[in-house]
Amino acid sequence: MIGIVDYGMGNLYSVKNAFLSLGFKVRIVESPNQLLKMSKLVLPGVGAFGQAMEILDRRQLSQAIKEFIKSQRPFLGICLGLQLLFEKSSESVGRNGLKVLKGSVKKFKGKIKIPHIGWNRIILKKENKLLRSIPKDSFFYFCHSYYVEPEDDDIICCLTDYGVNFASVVASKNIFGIQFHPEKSQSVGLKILENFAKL
Amino acid sequence: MLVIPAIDISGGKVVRLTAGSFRKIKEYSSNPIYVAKFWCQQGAKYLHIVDLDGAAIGKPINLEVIKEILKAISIPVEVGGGIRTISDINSYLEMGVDRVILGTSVVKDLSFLDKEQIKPIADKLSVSWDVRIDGKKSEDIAVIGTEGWLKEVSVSTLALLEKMTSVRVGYLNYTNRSKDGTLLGLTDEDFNYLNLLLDLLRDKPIHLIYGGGVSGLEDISKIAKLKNKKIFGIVIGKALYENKFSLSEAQKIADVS
Repeated sequence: MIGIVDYGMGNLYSVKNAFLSLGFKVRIVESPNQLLKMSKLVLPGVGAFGQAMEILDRRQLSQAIKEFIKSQRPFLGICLGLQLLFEKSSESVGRNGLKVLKGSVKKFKGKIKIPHIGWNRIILKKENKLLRSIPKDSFFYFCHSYYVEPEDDDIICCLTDYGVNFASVVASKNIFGIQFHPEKSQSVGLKILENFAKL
Repeated sequence: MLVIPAIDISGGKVVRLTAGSFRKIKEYSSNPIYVAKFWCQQGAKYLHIVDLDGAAIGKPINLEVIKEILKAISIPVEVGGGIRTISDINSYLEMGVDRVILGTSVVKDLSFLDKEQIKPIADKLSVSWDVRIDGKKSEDIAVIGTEGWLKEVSVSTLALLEKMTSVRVGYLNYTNRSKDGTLLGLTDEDFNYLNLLLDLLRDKPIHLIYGGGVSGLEDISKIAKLKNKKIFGIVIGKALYENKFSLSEAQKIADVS
């Protein structure tokens, strides 16, 4: 069963509907116990890093997510859910992330519109099971003001250009993270969720 | 620039009004979910959904239908019509709506945007600016339709844009309501006002979504040729429903910009 973590930070229902429309069973999980019973886990979310970590810590979900990932089960972070995997964010100095991946979360700078909202291209750097059958240069739907800067370039699978070339898909062993919203990115987005569900 | 199909819902059905008049209503489908899926199959990258009954009555009426649409498709959607309270906004956002369009609640009282609860969701909001160009009083004062365009209010464009900038609401759905649903095409007068608005937006972190009167590919081409990055998309209703052109033809022309 695929679990979707509910911690009150949005896009939960779109993600759930996307999996259901593909014919996969999902369960919304709210407690550490429920979470650890899943075979795959999705951490969605939009919004503020600090607030999200505060809720995850308070509900003891941080520890459970780390434990889940340690057990080698497939994990997918979407948007804020990707960012939370890293050590820290310039958005909330003083509140650490899940620290599952090394690196930090930065805010876009310069003469560009923030948040980055809209359809943008991915530039493939490294093949990955999650990206199976996804055409090169596909467009996906983005909505974010911050991006991840992994310490280890090797985990970056795709880059996207928005003033900077930022990591839009990362993968490290059983951990996958995507900055765009697959649940809002037409059939290519659904294909990514399907690939994850079939891992 | 995206071409955004419009799905206007009244009585659970997909309809188009002419210049906002509920007396000139035309039904296109009794199944909004089918219509939404159809536009997705045609390659739509964004949808514009309006709860017309909600707009007229002042609270969400076709919310359940819209919820079913969201379940059935996987592209971003903006929704407007009758969304007047924070709790209405949040119900739509929780459902997975990408952007909530506020009209009456904001144009009748700009301080609506000052509410504390707006801050965390400001980038998920748009203000609808439903202008009657022929009623224009000055460059700044625009005559805006409210309550499903059954009423009007005169508002300062700059006051709105300043307010939106200060609270970080980044989208303006400008509808040319004398033209909406008329298939009349865009005239110089329409472009004069559009250019005026774009000019006001130039140094503001606000993007524009245009709607109203698009009847042929040449209208899209003219807007695309402005090459203005401030235009996020064009909402098209009747012209698509009446097969004046296909969505993919329209998008191809819009992509030039």
